[in-house]
Amino acid sequence: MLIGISLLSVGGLLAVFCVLIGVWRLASVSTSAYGLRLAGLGLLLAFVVAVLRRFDANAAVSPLTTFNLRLAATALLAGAAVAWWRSRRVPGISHEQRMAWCNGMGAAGVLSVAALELIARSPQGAALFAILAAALLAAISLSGALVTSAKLRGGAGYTVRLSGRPALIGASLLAAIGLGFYIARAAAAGISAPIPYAGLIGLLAGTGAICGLLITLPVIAADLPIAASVGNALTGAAAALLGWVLQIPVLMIIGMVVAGAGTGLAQSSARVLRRSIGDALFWEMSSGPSATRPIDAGNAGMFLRYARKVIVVPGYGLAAAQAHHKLAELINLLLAAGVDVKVAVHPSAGRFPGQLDGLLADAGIAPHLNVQPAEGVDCFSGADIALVIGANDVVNPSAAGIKSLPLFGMSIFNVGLAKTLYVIKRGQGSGFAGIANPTFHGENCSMVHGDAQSVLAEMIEAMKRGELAVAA
Amino acid sequence: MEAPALMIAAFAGWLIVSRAPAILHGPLISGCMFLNAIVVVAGLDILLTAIAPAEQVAGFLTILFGAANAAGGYAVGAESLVKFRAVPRAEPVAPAASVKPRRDRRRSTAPRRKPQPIPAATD
Repeated sequence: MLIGISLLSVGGLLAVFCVLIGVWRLASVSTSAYGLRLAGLGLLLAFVVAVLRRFDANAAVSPLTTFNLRLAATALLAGAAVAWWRSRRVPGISHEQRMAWCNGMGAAGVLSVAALELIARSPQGAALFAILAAALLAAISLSGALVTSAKLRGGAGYTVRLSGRPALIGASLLAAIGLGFYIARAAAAGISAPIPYAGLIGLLAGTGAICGLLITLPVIAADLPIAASVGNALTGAAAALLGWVLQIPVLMIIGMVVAGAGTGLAQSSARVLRRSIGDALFWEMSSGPSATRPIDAGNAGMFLRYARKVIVVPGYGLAAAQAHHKLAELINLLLAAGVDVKVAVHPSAGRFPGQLDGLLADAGIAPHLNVQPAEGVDCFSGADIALVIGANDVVNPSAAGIKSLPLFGMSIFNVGLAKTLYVIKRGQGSGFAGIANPTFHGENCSMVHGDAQSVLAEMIEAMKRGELAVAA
Repeated sequence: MEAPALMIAAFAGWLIVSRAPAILHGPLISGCMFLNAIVVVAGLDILLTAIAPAEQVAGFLTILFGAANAAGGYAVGAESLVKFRAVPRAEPVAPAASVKPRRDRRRSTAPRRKPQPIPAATD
C-alpha cells in the first residue's frame, strides 16, 4: 500500500517534469515539436496516475466503480471525438479560433467541478473562497474564450465599442466579488437566502460571464493573442485552486505553471504588439494610427526564416550602410532554408540610377532573384513578408504624384500589400521627398530601427542560432 | 509548504515563456491551452469516487470538456508547429552558384567549395 502510494506520487512528479520540460522545449524553435509531444505525454501520465490513485483506494468500497470507469472512458472518447469532428467539419477554420474554443472547454470543465463542489459538497472556510474564486475566474475565461472564438470566425462584426468600458468592467467585477462574499456568509451562517443556493452560484457565474463579455467584446483583432493568453492564465489559476481544494498536487502545480506561462505570454505578446495589457483589455480600444510599431532585429529575422515568400526592397539606406554583403549572406541563408526570396529594385531607388543594381551585382546577389519590372508593382500581395531596407520614397504612395521627384510618373512598390512588412530604418525621418509614408503606419508594418549593416547582422545571427541572442 | 512550491511553479512557467522568440508566441499560447486539459484529472478524481448522481454528472462533464480541450489543443499545437519541422537544413550556397541547374551539376561532380570571398566595395 505504502509502496503503491509512493509510486503514484513519483508518477505525478514525473508528469509534472514532463510538462515543464515540454514547455521549455516548446519555447525554442528547433525543439518545439518534441516539446509538445513531451507535454502531451506528461498530461497522459497525469491522467493515468489520477485513475490508478482512485481505483486502488476504492476498488472494494464502491460497487459503482466499474460503471464510473466506463463513464470516464466514454467521456474521454466522446470529448476527443467532438474536438476532432469539429476541427474537420469546418474546412477553413483557423488555428486561433479552434484554440480559443479549446480554452473555453477547459474553463467549462473547471466550472462544472466548481459547481459540484459548491452545490453538493458545501466546502468550508478557505476552501469555499478558493472554489468561489475558481468559479469566477473560469466563468470570465469561458465567456471570453467564446467571444474570442466568435470574433475570429465572424471578423470585426463582433467588435463592439463600449464607452465607459473600465467602469462597466469594474462594476461587474465588484458585483461578482460582493456576491461571492454574500454566498460565503450565507453558507457559513446557514442563512436561508431569498433565492436557492444553486441560483446564487449561477448568478455568480453569470456575473463573471458578463465581465468576460465586457472585457473581450471591445478587444480589437490585433490584441486577441493578449486576450487569449490572459484567458489561459485565468483558467490555469482556476485549475490550480481546484487542485488545492481537492488536494491533487499535479493539478495544482500544472495549473500554476499554466497561470505563470499565460501571464508571461500575455506580457511578451503585448511587448511585441507594443501595447500594454491594461490598454488592450480594460482601457481604450486602439492606440490610434499615430505611432509606428517597432520590432527587434532578431525576432524579425526568425519570422523571415520561417516565411514562405519574402521580397526584399533595397533602397539608399543599403548603400549608405554598405550592407550589401550582409544582404547577400541573409539571402543565401533564406534560400538555404527553403524560403522563396526575391529582390525588387525600383528603377529610381538610391541616389542615382543604377546605384543599387551595381551594389547587388558587386555582392554577387544573383540577377535571377530580381523581380521583373512588369510584375514589380503587384507581386507584394502574394508575399508573406516584404523587407524594406532603407527605402522610403519608392514605397511611399504619397510621393508618387510629386513632380519634382525623379520618381514622378512611375508606379511605386505597393509593399503594404504583403502580409507583413518590415522596414529597416535608421531614424524617424522620411525619405528624399520629405513626405511621411502612410504604409509605415499600417497594421501589418513593423519598424526595425537601426543601421542596415548591424540590423542585417543581427537577423543573420538569430537565423543561424535559431534563438534570440538576448532575451527579448 | 504548498504556497512556495506553487509560486515556484508559476515562476518557472513565466520564466520559460519569457525568453521565447516572438515567432513562437502563437504555438506557445496553443501549448498552454492544451495544458489546461489537466482539469481532466479533477474530473477523474470526482467520477471515480462518485457515489451520488450529481458527482457522476459533474465528473462526466469535466472529463468530456477536458478531453475536448486536450484533443483539440494538441491538434492545433501540432499544426502550428508544422512549419518548423519541414525546413530542410541545407548549407548556404555561394552567391555565384545560386542559378539552379548549374549548382546541381557542380554538386554531383566536384566537391563542394566554400563561398568565394566577395571583393570589397570600392566606394
